Amino acid sequence: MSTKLRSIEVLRLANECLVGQYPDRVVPTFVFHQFAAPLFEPDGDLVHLISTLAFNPNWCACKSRKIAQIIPSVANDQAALVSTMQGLLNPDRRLFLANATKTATVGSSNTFPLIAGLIIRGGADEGLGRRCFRVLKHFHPDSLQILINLLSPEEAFDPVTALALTLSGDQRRFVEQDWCNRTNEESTEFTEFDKNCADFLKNLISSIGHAGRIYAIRDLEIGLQFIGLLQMTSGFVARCSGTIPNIFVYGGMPPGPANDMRVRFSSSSFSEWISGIWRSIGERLKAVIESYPSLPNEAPAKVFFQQLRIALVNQKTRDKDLRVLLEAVSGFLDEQDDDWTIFDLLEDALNFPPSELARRVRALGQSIGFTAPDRGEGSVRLVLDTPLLNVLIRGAIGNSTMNFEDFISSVSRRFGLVIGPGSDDSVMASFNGQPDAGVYELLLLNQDSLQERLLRAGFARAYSDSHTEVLPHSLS
Amino acid sequence: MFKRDIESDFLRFLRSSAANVERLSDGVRQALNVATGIEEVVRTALRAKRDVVIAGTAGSGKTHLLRTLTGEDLTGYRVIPDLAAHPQYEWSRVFDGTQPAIVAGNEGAFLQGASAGFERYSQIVAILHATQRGEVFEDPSAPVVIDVAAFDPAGSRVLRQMVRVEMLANYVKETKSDEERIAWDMLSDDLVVGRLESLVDTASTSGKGEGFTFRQLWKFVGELVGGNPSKFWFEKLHTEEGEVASRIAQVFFPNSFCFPHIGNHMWHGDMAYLRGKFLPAAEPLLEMLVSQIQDRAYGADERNNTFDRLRLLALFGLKVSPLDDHWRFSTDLWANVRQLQVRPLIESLNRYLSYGLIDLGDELELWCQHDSERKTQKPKVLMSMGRVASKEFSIVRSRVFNNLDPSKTSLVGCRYVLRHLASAANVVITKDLLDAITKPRSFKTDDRLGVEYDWRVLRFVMQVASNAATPDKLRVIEFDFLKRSANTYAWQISAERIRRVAS
Repeated sequence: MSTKLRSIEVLRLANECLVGQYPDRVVPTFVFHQFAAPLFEPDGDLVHLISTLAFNPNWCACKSRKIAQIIPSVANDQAALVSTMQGLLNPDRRLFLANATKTATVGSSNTFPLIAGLIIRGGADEGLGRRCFRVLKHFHPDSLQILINLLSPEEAFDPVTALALTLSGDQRRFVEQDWCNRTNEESTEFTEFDKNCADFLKNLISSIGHAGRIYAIRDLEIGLQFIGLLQMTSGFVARCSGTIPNIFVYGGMPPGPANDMRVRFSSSSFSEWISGIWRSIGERLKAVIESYPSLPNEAPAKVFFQQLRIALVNQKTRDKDLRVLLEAVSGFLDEQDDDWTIFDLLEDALNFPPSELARRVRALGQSIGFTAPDRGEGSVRLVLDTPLLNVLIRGAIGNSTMNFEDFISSVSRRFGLVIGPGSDDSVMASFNGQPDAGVYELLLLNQDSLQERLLRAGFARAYSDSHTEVLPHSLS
Repeated sequence: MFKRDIESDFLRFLRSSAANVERLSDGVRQALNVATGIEEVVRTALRAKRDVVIAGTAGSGKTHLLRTLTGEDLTGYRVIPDLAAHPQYEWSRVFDGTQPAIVAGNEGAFLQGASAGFERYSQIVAILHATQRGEVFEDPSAPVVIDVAAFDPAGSRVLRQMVRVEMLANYVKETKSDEERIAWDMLSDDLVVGRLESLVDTASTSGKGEGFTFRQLWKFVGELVGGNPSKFWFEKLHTEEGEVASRIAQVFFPNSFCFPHIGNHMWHGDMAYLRGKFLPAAEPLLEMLVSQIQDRAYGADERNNTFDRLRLLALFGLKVSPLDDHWRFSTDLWANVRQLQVRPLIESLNRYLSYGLIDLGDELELWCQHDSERKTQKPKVLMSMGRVASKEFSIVRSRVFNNLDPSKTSLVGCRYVLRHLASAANVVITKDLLDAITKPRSFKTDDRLGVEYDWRVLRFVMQVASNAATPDKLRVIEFDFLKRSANTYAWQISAERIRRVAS
């Protein structure tokens, strides 16, 4: 395994939310499972059986007498059942067979988290779900009880939930009774940004019994990935510096034409944003490492090396990873004069230049339509695809309505996502010195594009020449 | 006699790019007054000493409506002509119960009052929303709310009153050439003006289908009567720059109409044949144009131009015009919606949501789309949480007023709303939405514009499903996008087992 793969061990000394080398494996379903897992005690065998119904009902019937009684035995009907279960449990195709022959059962993968009995600890989320859980538990612990109610319905009011309950039985037995005490975390300092994230998630969690619960779960999946990404980026900067960095988000239809001024502006804003986060990671890493003790009267490079070793050991890094990392750092330090910086270390020894951070952000955002373009060499920018817009509105305004300009300002103030001037054009200050077209006009144009999209998708209603109201689900 | 002092005011009004009733003299305003029926609603409310709110967008006619009321009508009333211009610290006192109030304002101003925590304003906003959804609100202690913006002047056939305003006729008589005057006089014929109204009505539903305001219509009338003096009004109606003319240009294609029985006669200037085919009101202009066609000194280009004018004249001036059939036999989805027919709309929604791969009939399938990742293609399997018959839905038109006995008038608004009766879930049906759902739905996520309409429809489906989903029956549809086919499965679900049933 190369240093590049292991460098996350060092990087997480600075930013615990940073995802590793394979960010495209981190998807909303996985984040949701990890987020909800502390609340439930899964029956692994049962989850495995139900998941396998999406591929091989016959095997499931052989393994479980109860399942055999529930599902049809005719081959034709079983083929129909496979399609049905694929639709029910696997809308994002995140359920995989365990081996290449595709004759066996499912491997370590996650179903759509329709009910508590399907929640398992598994699926790589690189700690984003756990982080969201901690933030929510700190600010809104009551919401977790609502989440339990959402995922463990006593009765089904729609056929999708009914089918899942028939297969899985009573859901209350999967609830971790002592979840509140068992999930006590070490003391962590939370920021205003974290509170904004917690408020956002709280708005997405509701105790719905009817068919709307399926959409609530889907929206929460998207919302968790969104908040997880923000925790890794702007949230990290907020923790380091106390201020939320602003980034311009393209408000038109993603991905947007490459020669559009707003697209170019959003790309340059993205680069600046990434550079800022990267610098913060470097500075934070330096500060964390230097906070560890070292032997006196040593050369600076040696002191740093000793401190890094202690920090990694303290973080319980596996021996073989530790050995490779220290070798790489040692090699780097040997090649340098004393004028090296932490940023040189990030780029050369840990293979983590700003572009590597951008790659991770792009991959994480891509699955929920938060970054564009999907593929290719085009300049990366933040966008808001329609499903994410729906979630952003629900998370930002809850069940009330909100003036469109206030909504724009609220998203900017709480998360640093600048779409337009909104009702308070103080965001302008953060974009001084940007391109020629006039930043204000650019922001206004961008805001108008988003407004048009909201109206088209039924997320907002225009009331007069100058007044648009953003609507939650129930009022649209 | 056309008075000079009024004339300049009137001309300014017609030619202004933002014709503004606030700047009109009383004389012109009285002369341009067009009865809509809203005035009577206001007077009824005033006689009952009810609080009255007149809401609407800029240009929808709030100020004009207020000014049609006399001092006698408003005796004892607190009159606020524009809430937004009224000091905000006094907003809480506007409806304090000491005196009935009549208040006009942009809807945004009332929302602002509601946001500021004024209970009365929250109530007004609630009534306004109900009005826009076509719902009846009844509470005698609450204000009567009139949504002037919802009134559809184009659909309510008030255009004929506008083009026949006496002042306009005098203006044409005194200032226009004989040719223009003869052409304008055609509008005295009900059939001719009816065709013009139908055209404007159709245009009002293009784009987002939000109708036209009085201001836009007056600007249109100004363009017809003014503008290029070498063109007749029927040549200007789709070539001018105003909102109405621009939207007519989107729906009116003169060259697409055929004149199989009179085309040759027009080309050869056969007046003897043509005379009986045209309405008497159109005959003077017909004679004039035919005489030009017969003029042998005419060059080919001039002859072609005159023939084009004759064709346009024929569309509006024939006793039996192809325009009439064009509207009468229109069977597109928007025409169905305008006739409040639910079934074709539900069938179209079903067809759209199932990518046109399967015929699902006229019961709305409650599709559940719960994928959360942005993939290249949409899920191949969709589950339906139930079916709801067409008769469980209705298409309602928004209301123009609310909280007053609806039997007083038959006024209806210009917005169309599809409503599920049991859950009160509703979705605004606009022309652009229908244009989207009558085209094939793409299974590719990259087709982003469609995604936005998908969401408007699927949000509605979700709301209906929240009320109408049935836990015991699950229908599944599996698409094969490459083969353009689909399979359906149905399951009966109980607590003990799942059993496949006929789909």
